[in-house]
Amino acid sequence: MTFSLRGRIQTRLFLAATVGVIWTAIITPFLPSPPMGSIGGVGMVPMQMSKFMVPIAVPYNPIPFDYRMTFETLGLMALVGIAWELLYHLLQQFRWDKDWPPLFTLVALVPEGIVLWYVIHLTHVENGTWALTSSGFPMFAIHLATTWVLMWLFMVGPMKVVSLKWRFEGGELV
Amino acid sequence: MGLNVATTVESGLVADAGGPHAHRHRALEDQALEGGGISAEMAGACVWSDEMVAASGISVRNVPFVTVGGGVASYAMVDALRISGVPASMIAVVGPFPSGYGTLKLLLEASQIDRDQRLRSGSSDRMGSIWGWPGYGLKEAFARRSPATLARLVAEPVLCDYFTPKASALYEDMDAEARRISWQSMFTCGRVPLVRRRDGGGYFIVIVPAEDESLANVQVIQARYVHLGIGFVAAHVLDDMMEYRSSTGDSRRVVNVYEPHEHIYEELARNPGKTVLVRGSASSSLQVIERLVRDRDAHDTGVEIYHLFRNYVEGPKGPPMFRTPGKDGFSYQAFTFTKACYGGQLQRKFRSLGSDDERAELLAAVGSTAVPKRKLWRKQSARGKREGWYKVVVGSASGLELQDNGRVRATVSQEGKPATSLEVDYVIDATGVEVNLRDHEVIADLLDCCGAETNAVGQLAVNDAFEVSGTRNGNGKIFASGVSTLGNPYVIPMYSFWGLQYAALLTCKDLSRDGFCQPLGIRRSVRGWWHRIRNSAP
Ligand SMILES: Cc1cc2nc3c(=O)[nH]c(=O)nc-3n(C[C@H](O)[C@H](O)[C@H](O)COP(=O)(O)OP(=O)(O)OC[C@H]3O[C@@H](n4cnc5c(N)ncnc54)[C@H](O)[C@@H]3O)c2cc1C
Repeated sequence: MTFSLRGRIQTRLFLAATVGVIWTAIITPFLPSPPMGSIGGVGMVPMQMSKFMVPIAVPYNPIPFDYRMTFETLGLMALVGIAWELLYHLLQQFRWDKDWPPLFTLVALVPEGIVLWYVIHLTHVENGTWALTSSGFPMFAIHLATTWVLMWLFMVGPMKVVSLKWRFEGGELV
Repeated sequence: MGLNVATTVESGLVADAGGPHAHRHRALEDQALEGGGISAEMAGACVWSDEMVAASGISVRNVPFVTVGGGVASYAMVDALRISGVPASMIAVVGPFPSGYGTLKLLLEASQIDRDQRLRSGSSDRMGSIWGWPGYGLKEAFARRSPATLARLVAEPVLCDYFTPKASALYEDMDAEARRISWQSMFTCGRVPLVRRRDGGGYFIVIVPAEDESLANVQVIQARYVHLGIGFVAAHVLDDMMEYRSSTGDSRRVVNVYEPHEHIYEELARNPGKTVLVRGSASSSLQVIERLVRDRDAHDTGVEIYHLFRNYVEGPKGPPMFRTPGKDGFSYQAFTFTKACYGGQLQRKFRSLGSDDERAELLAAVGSTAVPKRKLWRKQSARGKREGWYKVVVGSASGLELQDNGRVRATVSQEGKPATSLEVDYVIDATGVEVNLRDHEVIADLLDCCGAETNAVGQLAVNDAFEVSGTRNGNGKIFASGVSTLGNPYVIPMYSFWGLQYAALLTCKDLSRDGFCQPLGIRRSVRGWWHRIRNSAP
């Protein structure tokens, strides 16, 4: 891949908004849901107001909470990713070919995943321990890794079909 | 001004290589035209009227879009137009070979890349599909059921060399797409000596049909748009070789790598123990050495190889942010240009440069001779050095002489040192060829008669739609792509499949603004791709 800086950022945002969103919508119900309480965010209490304004507990349905977590994770992956792209662009300057082999993009999952795990704690998308033993970790890891690989597969292939401009102008879409 | 592509071009040649009708001397041309139904008055007039042409009795067809050359550049142009919704009946292709790769195949074979050898571009540089996906690599992986090829596509170029397709994959792909877009129905076998402005807009394209060498049956097409994809035809061998040939009459011992030279390999197999000087450190030189070594092993030719480097690269050079990898004499780079020119940040920078001269400078900086880092080549030269049959010589080639003993004395000069000389049996030159724009009949005429201009590197000046500057005529436009548009403001790797396809797309974009074709937006692109996959007409 030979990216311009704009191309990199546009590509990441586009892939997250298309492949990322569709895949997250599909996979979330099948992810190992962490027990109640480890999911943060605003309004996380699984309760609902009765019509007399008395809070009543409803049977716990984790799905909406899982969705919030996966979508917020996806959003942060895209957002924090912009900073990553700046770093990659800098590193790219040291390559004579000024390119970015697909393998680099694939393995970037590891450093980006580690940083993202911390970021979702800092932003309270996920509560609980930062340790990898956290009950929320399997969900996070499976979601991120599968989304990442799919985005990557889309990028090395069908992306060119969707936009010829992307193929010829450094990954730029607009 | 001639462009010495010696250092910048993985280039092609030469008189015979352009096909039987490609390269003609102009004086000959003038004579021929006079005998061929085009009156002296017409030959002298830069603008032709309909009446003038009608009076000459020459048959005239009206086709809105004509591409001259019929090579890879024409192919890319026509494919893009067809995908953009232009029917085959509105396009004509004129060239010497019925397949788009006719000339390229000759040049590839001369430079030792036969069907089973690999090209020098990547998996997605796919001539038979403007989308480049699925690429040649994926196809090969499935056809051979080879997970290794698949793994390689993931790992390239970090853990292994780039995947590069076999020449046969290119030919098959181009044949398949040609059938799909009805290439044959658009094709006329012939040569175009002239393109003239038409009074009232558009152009007249003069065609000398291939089957009629007598030139009595010249045809004319009236077109709104003309595209010139004439390739390297005006290329010729370097001066010292020209001198050698004209003084000795010998073109058997001293050849350019792009000229057919199978006779050398045959003679080496028959008479073991000969010496060959390979000049130049472009990848074609390594292709030749690969063949010499293969024959050495297979037929015991015992050949000794001298390899002449003008610049022997000891190691990586340049500042950290513009550092060319290099070793053992070579600069390394996967493709003819650095990867970044293929659409990346360098292309962006190139586009933003203000002047032609700045562009020429950047072009020179990124277009220096480099070779892909192939394991086989490195192993071969290491073994040759160890066993003493591969020797490196550093300096510039500066003269060739035929000795009485039938061998060739090649002089090599090096700055600040006395010149040395070598006695060898054969010289294979891979330092490049000279391309002089004016040597090409159509272009010379375009410059003299149609108002075309040249750019800072001496090639045709074009705008960002690849329209040749100064040639517009009413609603008509002349476009060009290929090596003759090197130094254009948009595409750096002008002689690559990628560059030719990109140029074609930029031209199509302009034509869609004229209403001649549909813009290739997301929907049309995806639909077009689906048709290609299903192999149904565009
Ligand atoms: C040996 C070699 C290997 C290459 N390998 C690669 C590679 O691996 N990957 C890559 O991307 N690029 C490669 N290239 C670069 C480039 O893609 C090819 O050179 C390509 O063929 C250029 O296309 P073209 O149409 O400009 O020229 P050509 O394909 O040569 O076509 C031009 C045609 O126009 C004809 N013509 C000229 N004048 C007239 C006239 N007046 N009337 C009618 N016809 C005329 C010529 O005879 C010729 O057939 C290679 C080039 C060479 C020489």
